[in-house]
Amino acid sequence: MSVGMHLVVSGFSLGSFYALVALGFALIFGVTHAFNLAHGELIILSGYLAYFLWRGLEVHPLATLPLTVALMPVFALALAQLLKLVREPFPMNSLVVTFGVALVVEQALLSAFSADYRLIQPAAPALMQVPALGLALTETQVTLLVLSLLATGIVHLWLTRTFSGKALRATIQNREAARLVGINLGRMRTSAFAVGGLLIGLAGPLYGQTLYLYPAGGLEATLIAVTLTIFAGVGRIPTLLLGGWLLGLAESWAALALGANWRELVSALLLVLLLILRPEGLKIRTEG
Amino acid sequence: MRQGGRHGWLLGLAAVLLLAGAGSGKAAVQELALGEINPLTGALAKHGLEIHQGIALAVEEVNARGGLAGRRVKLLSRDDQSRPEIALNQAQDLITRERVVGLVGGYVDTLVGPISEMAAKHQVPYVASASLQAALTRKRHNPYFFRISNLEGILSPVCRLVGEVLRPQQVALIYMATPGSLEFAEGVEERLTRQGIRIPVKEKFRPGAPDFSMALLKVRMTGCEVLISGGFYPDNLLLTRQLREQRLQLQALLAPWGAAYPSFIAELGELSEGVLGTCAWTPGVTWPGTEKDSQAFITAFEARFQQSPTTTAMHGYASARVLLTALERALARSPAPTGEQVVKELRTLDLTLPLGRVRFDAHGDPLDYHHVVVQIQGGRLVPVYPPERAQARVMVPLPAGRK
Amino acid sequence: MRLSPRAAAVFLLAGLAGWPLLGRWPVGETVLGLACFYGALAVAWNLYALTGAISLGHSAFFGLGAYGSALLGYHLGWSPALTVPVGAGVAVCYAGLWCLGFARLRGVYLGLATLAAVEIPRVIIDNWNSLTLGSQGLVGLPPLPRVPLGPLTLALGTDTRAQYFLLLALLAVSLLVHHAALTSRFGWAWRALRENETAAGLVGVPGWRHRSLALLLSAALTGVLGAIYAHILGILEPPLVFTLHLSALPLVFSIFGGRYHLLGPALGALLLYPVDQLLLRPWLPTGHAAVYGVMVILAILFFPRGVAAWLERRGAGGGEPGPKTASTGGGREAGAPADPDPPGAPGGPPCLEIRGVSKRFGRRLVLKEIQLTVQTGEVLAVLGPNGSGKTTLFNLISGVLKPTAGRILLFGTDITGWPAHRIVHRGLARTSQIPQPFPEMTVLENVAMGLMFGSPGVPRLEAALPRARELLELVGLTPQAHLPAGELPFADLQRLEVARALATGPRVLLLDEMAAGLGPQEVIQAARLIRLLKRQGLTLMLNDHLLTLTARVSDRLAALDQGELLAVGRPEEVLGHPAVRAAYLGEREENSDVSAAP
Repeated sequence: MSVGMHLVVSGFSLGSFYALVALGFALIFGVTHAFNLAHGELIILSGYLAYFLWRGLEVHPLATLPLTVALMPVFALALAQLLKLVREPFPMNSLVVTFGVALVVEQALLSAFSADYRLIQPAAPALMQVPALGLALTETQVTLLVLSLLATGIVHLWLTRTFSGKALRATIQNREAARLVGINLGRMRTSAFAVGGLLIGLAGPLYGQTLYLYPAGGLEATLIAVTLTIFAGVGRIPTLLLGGWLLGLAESWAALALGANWRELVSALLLVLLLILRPEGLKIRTEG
Repeated sequence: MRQGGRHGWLLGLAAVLLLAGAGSGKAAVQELALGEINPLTGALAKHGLEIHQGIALAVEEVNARGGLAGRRVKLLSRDDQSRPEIALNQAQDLITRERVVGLVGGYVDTLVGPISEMAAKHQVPYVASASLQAALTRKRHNPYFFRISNLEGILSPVCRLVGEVLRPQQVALIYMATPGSLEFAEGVEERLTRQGIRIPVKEKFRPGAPDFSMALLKVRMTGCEVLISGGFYPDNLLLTRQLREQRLQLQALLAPWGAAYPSFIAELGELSEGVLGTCAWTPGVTWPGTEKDSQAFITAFEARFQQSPTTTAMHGYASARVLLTALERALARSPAPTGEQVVKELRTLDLTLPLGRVRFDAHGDPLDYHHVVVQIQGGRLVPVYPPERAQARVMVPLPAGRK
Repeated sequence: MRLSPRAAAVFLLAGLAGWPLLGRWPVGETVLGLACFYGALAVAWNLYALTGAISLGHSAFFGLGAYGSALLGYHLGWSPALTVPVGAGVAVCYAGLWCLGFARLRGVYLGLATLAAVEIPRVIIDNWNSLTLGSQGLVGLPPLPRVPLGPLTLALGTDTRAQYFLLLALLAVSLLVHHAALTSRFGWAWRALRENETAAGLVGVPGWRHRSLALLLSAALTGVLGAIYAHILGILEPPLVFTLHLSALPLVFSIFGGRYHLLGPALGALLLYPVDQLLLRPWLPTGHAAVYGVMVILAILFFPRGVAAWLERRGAGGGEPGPKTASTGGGREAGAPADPDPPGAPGGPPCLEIRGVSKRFGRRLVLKEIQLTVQTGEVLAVLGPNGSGKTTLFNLISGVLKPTAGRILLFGTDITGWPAHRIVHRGLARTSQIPQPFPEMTVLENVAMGLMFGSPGVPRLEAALPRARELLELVGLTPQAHLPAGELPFADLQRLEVARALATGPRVLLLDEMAAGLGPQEVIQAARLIRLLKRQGLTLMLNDHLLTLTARVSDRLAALDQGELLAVGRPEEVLGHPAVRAAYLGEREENSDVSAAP
């Protein structure tokens, strides 16, 4: 496999990973304007659930997904209930409340699972070859690429093709107008948290399979989610994946061409410059 | 305001907490207060908690045999939350308010550095459990600062193993943006280059970096035979996995910080096979002549914490043992020894612990800190270097991927 | 007993100064000193936040301040007394770059940019080994100096108590700055910016200048704190200072304490930090952060606007800075800022010339080469159906939007592309179809903003109040003067718009859809007002999609349809114009309002 191919594969799979981590946050933030700083902790929690299931049952890591996807909405909805109690100014106060929630969840994880680092790891990871393209992908990379495309695609289709999804999309675009045309904002909030929970449930096991799990690891995941959500333009699900790939490719290129010590500078410059050029993120601008 | 009445209790609660704390400040006269500062939460919690367990065990042992000169030792454990200014603040509080006779603990130089400055300022002895950076002892003379580890103890076996046994032509070096890891990388580069080994890949990462694949690509492109990683435990978990997933062919992967933990093997399973690490001690690997002490420590530790001790826990235990011993000797001379008197005892101390022989030089660095290179063979940590402590030969090359 | 915020601050500082002298408390000088330190940091952060900007990157200033000072001390051995200001200077320079680069960014997008902007100095410092020693860090920085103070010597570097008083003094200084920021003319400008940025521009607040000023001040203070932090620690490495933690804590403290209150941010730090550090020890090692987290959650649920806001409402002080002054101020007479120039006869020299102005949104051309001249002293109405581009035209004239092509001249000066506030200072004000109040200010204060920041401008709020009352009287809002503007009904908000626009002292006034939503009686009142203003010599330009108001008052009409100017002239000429008839009456015969027109 050529160097260029390596770069592309790594960049895209890293970007897919970022997008998967950000999806749940992006949806919840877009609809409810709740700045959920406990997002990363929920992903870690989901990862721990998958980890112990995988350890206990000795199944394939991906087989744990149905359980985490089913369970995480419960936690997300519990968070939604807590955030219902938050009064104005909501965005700022939700930020501080979820900061508190993040601390509590982190401590609970520390007490329950100890400070050890955990990995979800198929015993013998396969390497998939596509000789025609000169490609060699690791199992993790394939999983990330496929699932990020699937998840983004399904959420996008749901938002654009179904009635409930369209209502949610309208809420993202203009809450006041959505309320005026009779969309129940409370129900929108609930469905955003429920679907956000599903996506967190999806991201957790993959997080454990790509990085590692430890109680204080949530911050990293939250940072990825916040960065990508805003970078992509709030409420834009397809550009989320696009933004993720852009960042992943830029970081991989920087690590290869300039050295790993410069990669954060390159991604920061990319973010800053693109924001200066496009003050509303990557999303396509609509004026008037 | 109507709401005021309902919410006043919150402020009231805070006030009660404030006042409740006021009474607890006065310690019993008979007790000796010993301060411990470790990262018990935050990113470094794993190692901080391990050190804490080792220290707690050492203090409990002393109290079980009647304390020091008949006085119970009260261990005051503080969490620095993996943040240096909190470490500083905890140190200051322990010294000025709790009047501790000494400080122990500390993981990584960033947290140890500020504590050592504070100890010097108040003339309280501080024995650090895990610290490597040369500048902390060499840049400025700090007579109150001692540490039971140093970089040389790790650097020396690593470089000698590479130069004498592995003998590659090219080595790739990955390290982290921390003082200890940076000094390690510089030391390795200097020594290996002197032996004619080229280092075409030298990559600096931020601790906790999510992706090593581009660095691994460079290793593959340049054809380096040996990869030395100055990363920390979680970094090495990730590095090892990515390296194995991508089927990189290597003679050896040498990761001083990380591989020598049973949990490393438990988490990575057979992917960990063949990885080289270093440690000063681990169950089954102990300083010659201390087998009985070592076993006693393991038994006591397992009884107390229901888990096996790690090398980090042993560092905590050893640092506490050192400080407690010096304190005991100082107490034998004076009922209320000053910091200076304890420091004098530390300077002349010569103790043999499972970790090794402990003596300090004029800078407070250990004279006899030696790591053993261990390799994961058959899911166990087996010492392979230096020859006098080896139980098996170094296994090369690194098994690639699926068997 | 009611304490003014200033008195509360003095009591608080005095209490903090006396605290360590009273005995050995569990919250000792060390912890309390750091609480003061974080209090000062929170205040510094809040200075920028007062303009409505939420920064997630203040650790950049903290780190640059620390490195700027530490490097001089490390390499040249200079005393911190000299190097700390240099550190602050470095931080201010970087803040200057933010001012230039992030001028157009708002809200979460600004937040992300600031978050990313921390990485730039961090990575550079981390890799510039020859200067900064990179990741190796600087060990053995010069300690804080000994300060001879009369017979006493404050050994700031070694004496815990001296250090405590230094940190307390920093808190005091930052509170002083905070107080000035909250109560001065600047403070009102910042408040106007955060409550409604568009409206701030329309009353003449130079937004960029004020936001930049706030940021530079905030960065300077943060830089000083960072520099002192480095000398207290004695060591410095990039990950010690360029952390999310240091960016986020001030935010949490500020919100917890109450962002818009003098003592809010400091109170947040003084309450939360000691609790976190000391009082939760019984739960070590794995419980204290959870207890802390629960406390933060409860506090926000019960005190959504911060502890200081709650205290203030209880009348215990710690409270809000400005608003009260509005109800008590009676003071001296303001200048007569709204007195226009002597009236010019209708049909006098042109005061506003629109030359070939076009506006394009994406692919849609909303205005096509508009050519229009407004004569001094006349009332010109722009007529057109919804979506014909009337409001866009007003937005272009008032500087809310920039034209795609063409030029706009005001009193002979080319004002094309000028920001709104400069145009206001040139003597052109406008109202907005969708009212743009400062929602948390009282109605009276809303009007006072126009007086303070319009032309010629009044330096203090108190001085602006008498004239503000007159203007409220003029539009009939006197009974509502002390209500928060956000609580007014739509019609009242429109009248407030007029009063506030008049307050900026305009010679030309643009009234945007003034008749929308008004009842017949109110339309008559509005017409009366317009005639009165005209008599006072004001040039007026209004727009409407109905003829109810315009027909009563205007000297000339300009008919706009789908972005094109169909006709300009006397009302009867324009209404008789075939293109106009076709565009309006022909297509909209069912519209009774139009057909009822004369």
